[in-house]
Amino acid sequence: MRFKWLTVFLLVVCCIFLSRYIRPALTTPLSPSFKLCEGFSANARYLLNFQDLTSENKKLKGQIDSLTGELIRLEEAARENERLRSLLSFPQEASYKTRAALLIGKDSSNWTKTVLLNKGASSGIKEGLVVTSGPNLVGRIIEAAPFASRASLLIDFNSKIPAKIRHSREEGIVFGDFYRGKSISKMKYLQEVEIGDEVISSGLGGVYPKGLLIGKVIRVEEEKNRLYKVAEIRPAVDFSRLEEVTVIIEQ
Amino acid sequence: MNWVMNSRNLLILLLIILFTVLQCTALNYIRILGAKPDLLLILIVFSSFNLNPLYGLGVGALCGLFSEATSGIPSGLAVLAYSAGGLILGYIGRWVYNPTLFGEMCLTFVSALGVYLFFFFLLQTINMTLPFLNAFVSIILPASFYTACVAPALFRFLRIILPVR
Repeated sequence: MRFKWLTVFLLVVCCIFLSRYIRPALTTPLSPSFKLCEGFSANARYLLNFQDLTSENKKLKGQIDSLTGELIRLEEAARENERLRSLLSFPQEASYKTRAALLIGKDSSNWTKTVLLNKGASSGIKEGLVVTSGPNLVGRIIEAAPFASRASLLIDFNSKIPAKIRHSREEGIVFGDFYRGKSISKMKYLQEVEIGDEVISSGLGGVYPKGLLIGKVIRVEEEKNRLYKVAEIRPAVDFSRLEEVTVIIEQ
Repeated sequence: MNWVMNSRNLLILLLIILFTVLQCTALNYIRILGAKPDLLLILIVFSSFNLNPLYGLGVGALCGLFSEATSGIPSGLAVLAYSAGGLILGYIGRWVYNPTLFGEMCLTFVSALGVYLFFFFLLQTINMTLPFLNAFVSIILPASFYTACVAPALFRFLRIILPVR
């Protein structure tokens, strides 16, 4: 009996101290089962929300038409911008080398907000890389196993992102928090922000590229005797519907 | 006897894998108040109450490891919280375990509350500060309650497939 206790005690101590190294080794063999189960769950969800999907599809088709016109106009503006930049010998805007990845699982815990991606170190994904969805910021890779990786979302309470308000250039820090049973994003700042202001990454610190859209200010917390002010942000990405992301593997 | 123990250990490992996969996928679609039931914690509570403290400790450590591998929890914290929970529940479970629907719900609720509060305390020790009220109202309370609601049904299922004393 004493031998059994010793064995189990050693197992616990090993789990505590070697967890950091065992984690990636567990992620890869578990990822096929995540893919399978997530596929079933997502399909079941689609079937249950079929009516909503039909109306959403109609709405999106309408949006495509209006956005196509907008795209042509923006392409023209981009070409003009490029020409003017070359005339002024102004440095070109940063371009990123990205890799697309699919979401195959979410977080098993109630505490943190992370997602499991189907691409890992074998596809060039490393710890610390930034994850986006179009022009919107999603989060950062926190763990890269050979064939899968885990990304922490910007609503995770452990995430801190240097940010600024797009129009006023007011700087602050975006961080994750909990509010009424939901994970939300908040921004600490010093001066003034208004409801509806767009928040983008400021690029300070060199981890997150400059100009990625984080979200919009939806509530400003008015509290006296505080050194900084806090605003609640609605993320630009709907994390409950996120299916594909791009990982910036080279800036 | 040895065969029973080995098959039980294997079954527990398979259940841990199954519950981890479910928590990462299907259970995300049935969240209530932002929380989902912690099936791994139910397995720990079941093993501690129905087997012995040693099982509680071992199952807690493995559940913690799988939970950390599939979440952003800092390394070692979930292992520590779950295994300590498993061990303590294994000792006190002998005196307080009441195999009725309400009894199981209450015990799971209190156990979950204790494990989550200990986990919250561990987070503070590594400087991951989170406002207590926000964490209590948004995670600890709803997750404990939801876990307690699911527990009796899962206990019945586990009692059928796991040989217990």
